[in-house]
Amino acid sequence: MSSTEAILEAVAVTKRIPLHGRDRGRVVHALNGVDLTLRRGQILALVGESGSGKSTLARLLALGDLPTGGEIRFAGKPIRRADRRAHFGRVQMVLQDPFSSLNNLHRVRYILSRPLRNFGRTPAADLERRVLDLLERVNLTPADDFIDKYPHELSGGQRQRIAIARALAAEPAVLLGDEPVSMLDVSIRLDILNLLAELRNRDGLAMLYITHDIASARYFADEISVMYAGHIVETGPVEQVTQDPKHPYTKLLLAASPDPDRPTASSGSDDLDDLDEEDLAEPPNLLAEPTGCPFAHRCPHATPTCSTEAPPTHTFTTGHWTRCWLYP
Amino acid sequence: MKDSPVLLDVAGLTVEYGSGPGAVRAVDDVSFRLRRGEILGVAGESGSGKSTLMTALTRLQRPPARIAGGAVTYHPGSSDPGIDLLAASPARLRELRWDSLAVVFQSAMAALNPVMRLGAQFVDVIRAHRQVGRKEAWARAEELLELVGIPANRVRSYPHELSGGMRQRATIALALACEPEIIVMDEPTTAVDVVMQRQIVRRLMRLRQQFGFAIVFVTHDLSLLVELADRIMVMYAGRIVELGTAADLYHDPRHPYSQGLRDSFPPLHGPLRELRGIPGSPPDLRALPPGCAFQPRCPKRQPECTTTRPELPPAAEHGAACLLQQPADLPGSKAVR
Repeated sequence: MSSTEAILEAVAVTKRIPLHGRDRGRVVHALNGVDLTLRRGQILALVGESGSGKSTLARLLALGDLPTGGEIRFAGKPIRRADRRAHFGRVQMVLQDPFSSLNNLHRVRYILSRPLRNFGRTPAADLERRVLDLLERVNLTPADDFIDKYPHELSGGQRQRIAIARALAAEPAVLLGDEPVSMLDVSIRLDILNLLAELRNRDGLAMLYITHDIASARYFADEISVMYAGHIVETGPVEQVTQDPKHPYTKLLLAASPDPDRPTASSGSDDLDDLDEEDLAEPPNLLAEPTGCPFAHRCPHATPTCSTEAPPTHTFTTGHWTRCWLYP
Repeated sequence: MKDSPVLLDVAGLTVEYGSGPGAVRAVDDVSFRLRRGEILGVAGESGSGKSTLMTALTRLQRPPARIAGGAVTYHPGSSDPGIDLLAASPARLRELRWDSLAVVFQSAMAALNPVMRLGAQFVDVIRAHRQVGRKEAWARAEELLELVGIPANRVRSYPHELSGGMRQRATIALALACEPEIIVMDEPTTAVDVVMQRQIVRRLMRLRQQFGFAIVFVTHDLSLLVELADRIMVMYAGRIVELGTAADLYHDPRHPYSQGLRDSFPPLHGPLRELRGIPGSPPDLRALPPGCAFQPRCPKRQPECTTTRPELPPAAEHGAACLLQQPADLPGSKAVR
């Protein structure tokens, strides 16, 4: 699985964001030495709590912003600022909220033809046919009915399909989905995920799927990376990470996810007793210089070493690794 | 729980936005009973009327929403005739709110006053309903915050100084201030991540055991409700399509919509198979399809589904408003529960 060709990589990426005003001089440690690899035809899910740096990483991968340390590589070559234009055509994003990511003043025709002209050098005569093709690829059929609609005439699911079609228009090699289904109604989320999986299979796209819903990550992705406080704490094939999690944070995340099949469901019984009963810990302080394991202050297995020394990377089987002192 | 006395009796509640021929019926003829100490889950997609129903129950609806029919009766303690919430005067409602009936909203940032210290907001609520001094009220505020796992010294914080999870727990603590009998929660955990959601839910369960209040818990996350609620009601296009215990809803959903909803959540463990969700999108309430509102999306549609609107079987422990569930010879399928 991991032998497939790497297409977009983050290598030891660090992002520090300086603060202004009263907090001038301090920095937010948004990402700390993050490694991530997207491969052709594979879906990587990135899970973690809000504020853990998932979206920051996606923005760096799309070159919407530059890392302060480490590098972003495309097909093995480091990306520089000068490569931005080419990069934008190869790496496209699908954002969370299809109600604000589409310009309400334009028709679908215009929204989809812009990237075609900007990236694809499509001759004007072919534009309409290409737009219709795109609509068909995202299953908005009959395409003729949709091409002259405004976003407000479409439902949430249809808008998200337009957003996906817009991303596909540039013929990218990589699609970055930043919570692409979390704003949609439950009953249509699977439709969109199935569509993305179909595009992956047909076009061999590499995809990043940012989510906090670990069950949908299991359903949809090939690999999972778990992020906490700007660190990747565990990465591995999806079944291994969800069925046999290694890092205490991954375990906490899985134990906290709603699961109707949990043996002691309902009645609120304490099925989380291996986790700290009163784990009402606050989000990690990203303003402090990261020392040791970011999860140490909440971890039930924490030892004094954990908060002073960065944990080593331990590899279990090919492609499944974690950073934790529990594993020698 | 099944034999607990009825606390809230909702009968034929109908809420419309606007009036006259252009009125949109967001809640249509909804009837259910909330029993003492139970957690009733309300599941549905956006536009299913679940939030409108909650604002109508608590009389918090604002124009153009108006209650077009039905009754909501609150049975406090053992005093029998009950209080008609829809007819209650503003003064009477003020007495009941917080004291008997509290609400927790989705957005904690919007529910808390940003320019007041947390404690002051508690003191306001407590002193409006209890004859206590300021000092005592502040002490009570500290107690309440500790109940939801917020350190007592945070009582002097402003809402912006708290994390999202803390703010949401603070609004829950505020709802508990006067030990109400009913707490209505409208998506209380949607804005927080799963770990915090789990902690809030566990707190809530423990507090319910301690104080014995009933909860109406509204969410679009059916998988959470199955773990949390005693009974679940599923809403679609303003109507209850299925009502039953959490186990019934999960293991034996009878309405095709509930079945689709259940199958929209991929499992965390066990074998994976391809899931399809529910095709199509929720209906436009201004132009509902004829017959059953779900029929255009329904995989089990029959010819009569487009002509007959199915009703929820009255007073059944587990019932679905679906023609497939109703033997044709059953009289009174129009009956109001």
